[in-house]
This record gives sequence, structure tokens and C-alpha cells, in this order.
Amino acid sequence: MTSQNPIPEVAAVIVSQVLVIDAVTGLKTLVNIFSNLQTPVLPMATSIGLFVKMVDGEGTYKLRIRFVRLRDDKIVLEVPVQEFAWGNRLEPLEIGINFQQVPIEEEGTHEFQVFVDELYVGRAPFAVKKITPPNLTGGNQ
Amino acid sequence: MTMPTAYASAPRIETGVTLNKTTQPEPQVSQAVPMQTLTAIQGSTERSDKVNLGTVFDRRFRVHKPIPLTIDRSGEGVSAIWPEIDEFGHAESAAAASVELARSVVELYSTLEREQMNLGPDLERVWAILKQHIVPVRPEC
Repeated sequence: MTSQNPIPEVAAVIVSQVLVIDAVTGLKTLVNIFSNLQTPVLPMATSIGLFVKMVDGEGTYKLRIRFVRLRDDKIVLEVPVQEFAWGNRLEPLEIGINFQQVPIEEEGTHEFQVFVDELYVGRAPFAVKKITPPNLTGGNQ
Repeated sequence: MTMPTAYASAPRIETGVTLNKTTQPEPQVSQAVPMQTLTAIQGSTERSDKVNLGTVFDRRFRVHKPIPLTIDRSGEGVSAIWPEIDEFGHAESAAAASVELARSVVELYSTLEREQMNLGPDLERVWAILKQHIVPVRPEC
């Protein structure tokens, strides 16, 4: 970002289980949006679809996305810095990413962090909770 | 909601943004425009003591000039400090502390804006700095 470039505003950061991108139209569909992740087993790995919509940007920017465990600020994974050009300030920018096998080691709050030109501009936190699955067989526990 | 899967391979990503290639062979990212592959970095323990905020996490305000924060992990919890105006936020993680700081900056902005005709020299200096960094985007602010 040069000093002339505006700092984009993040209009939405949404976490889902799968993000479907239509190959023809480019339209995006989020499947199973969540803000709490419940699992009977930890550590585990899961798929996560991330959708980011930004507005009011123009120029060339560097994008960085991190997935962080907040207990100790550990960066669980990070998408390497990507440069992108934003042509028209009046048009929003949409980014869709499907992460597969995202490792989650423990309970607690985790979040996706969006950085543009090393500026922290957006976040999508969610809680991970371990649960005991119900006994559906009807037998003794 | 989640199904436990093997805790094994590193993440794979599919995205609709233009991404460049990185060094590691696995995992991969394939994308829509254009289709490419990239690697997510996993398990980094790098923790920065500087964060530049490009948002105050409040839709009534925009960040016009990045807010430089210092992250202090020396005590219990984490503090995000804006040294220039001596404002801070405290929480269990750097991200949460940054959000807390942003919240108090918004409150401070609103208060100083209301009282701007009656400010002493110190608060006048703070008000001048705040106006350089954040701007209200709705008239009621």
C-alpha cells in the first residue's frame, strides 16, 4: 500500500465449514456458518471455509491471513502474503478460502485475522468446545 | 457440528484471490483466478510485539492513518498500548487486547469530540492525534 492508498474496510469475515465457489459465475456460497465449534475429540482437524469482504480500497495491497489460537497467540497457520490489485474503489473485494485439515489442538477461542499491508483490519473469532456425544444406542454407558 | 478426523497433514487451501507460490511442497492451495497452488505455513510461534491497527472494529469509524500499538506481555495477560496517547487495552491475548484498546479509543474519541471546546492542553493534544488517525463515517458520531 502506498501512502495514497486508502485503508480498506472489512465489511465481513465469516467462518463456515465449506465455501463453494461457482466455477462459472464466481458466486460464493457458505455452508454451515458457525461461531462455535463443538467436537468430541481433541486434538482434531477440520475443514474451514473463510469468506472476507472488503470495501473502500484502491491500489495494490498485500494480504495476509492468519489462524491464531488466542490463549497464547500461537499462529496455527498462515497463508503467505499475497499481493493483489484493487482497481475500482466503488467495487467491493471478496476473498474465499477453503482450508482443509486445519489443526485444532485444544478448547478455547481461536480466530482468523486479516492483515492488509501488515495492518490488522479484520477478525473472525470462534470458540472451540469439547463435548461428550450423546449415547444414541440406548445401551448402558 | 464437527467430525473428528485424523490429526495429520498440514492445511490445504482453495481460494478465489490471486496467490503466489511458496516454497514448501505440501499442503496446497488451488484457486479460481488463476488456479495456483500455495502452501500454508503451520505452527509458527512468532509473536510480534508491534501491531498496526487498520480498524477500530466499529462501523461508525474508519481508520485514516494506521494506529501503531505496542504489545506488552510482561505481566499477567497482555496489554496493547498506543504510547502516543497513553491509551491501552488489556486482555488474555494480543488480539483481544487490541480490540479492547480500539473500543476505548472510540469512547475517547466520542468524549473528546463532545468536550472539544473545554479541553486542556494535554487532552487537546490527544484530540488532535485521534483526529489524524480515525474519522467518523456517520453523522451521529
